[in-house]
Amino acid sequence: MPAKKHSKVFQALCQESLRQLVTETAGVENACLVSGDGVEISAVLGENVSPGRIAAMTSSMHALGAAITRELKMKECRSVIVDGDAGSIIMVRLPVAQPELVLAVTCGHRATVGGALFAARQHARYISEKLSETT
Amino acid sequence: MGYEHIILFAGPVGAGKTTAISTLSEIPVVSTEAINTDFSISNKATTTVAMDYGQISLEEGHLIRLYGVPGQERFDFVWKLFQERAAGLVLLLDESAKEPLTDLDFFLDRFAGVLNHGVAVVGITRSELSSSKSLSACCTRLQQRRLKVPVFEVDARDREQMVVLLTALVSMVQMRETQLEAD
Repeated sequence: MPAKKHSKVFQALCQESLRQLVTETAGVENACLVSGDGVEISAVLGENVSPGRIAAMTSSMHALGAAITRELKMKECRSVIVDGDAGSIIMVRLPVAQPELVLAVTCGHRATVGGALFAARQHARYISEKLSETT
Repeated sequence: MGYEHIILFAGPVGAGKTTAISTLSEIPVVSTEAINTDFSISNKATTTVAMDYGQISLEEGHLIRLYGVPGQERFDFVWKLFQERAAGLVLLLDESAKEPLTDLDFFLDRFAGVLNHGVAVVGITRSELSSSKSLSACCTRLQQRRLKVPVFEVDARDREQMVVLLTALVSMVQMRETQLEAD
């Protein structure tokens, strides 16, 4: 999908960070970095997971989280967690990235949500820092 | 007794859905705007990524819930979610777009779920920016498709015009419900 282009260096860095997130965090199965308006930037996904659909859904869910956070005067939405019977989806906003970027991570029953959230936040912070350096 | 209806605002990016809901709503609009990075579709600064939500009370305290959905096809899962609950559809079309009639066909097809159980109106926006005659062309196309859908030329920023369009749609919703009860 033609959209705002990030540098090749940044994209390679994102891909490597997502790969590490998936391979080194127990139970984490998929990771996808998306723009706030729902365009995929980088993804490490299993078979039968459509990056385009995950990107659009992630941006919608995060935007709804931001809307209710604003409504309840809780400042900024940092993350949204969807708890399913067979796993969880964690969506973390990258700190300071403008335009906004969101990292979505899915994990199965082997994962603890706290552990996956911690790892997702660490990688979000790392990618944010690299984005500042490469632009 | 007051009634309550859900009305869905759909249409291509930039047709004025968010503006129309802001114009109509009597409560602060719940919006989900993100910075637009997908310039292949639009050069707008921001774009709706989940929904807009507003409310308006028409006569006798009847409450109308206004939901706007994103215009990009990648958000079609949102389109499907809201269609089941909507009693009426406001399809906004940007007359200054390249092919408003293609947009009309596309959104009528994709929002057939509302048309199957509800009613619709078409609002043509940005007419002042275009010399084309989309209104009559839209009416012709709707007739060809055997759809009884009124077409309005509106300015989404004009509250009076938008209230007229919404009132017409809500009247159609009421008539349809009365007919269904009679059957």
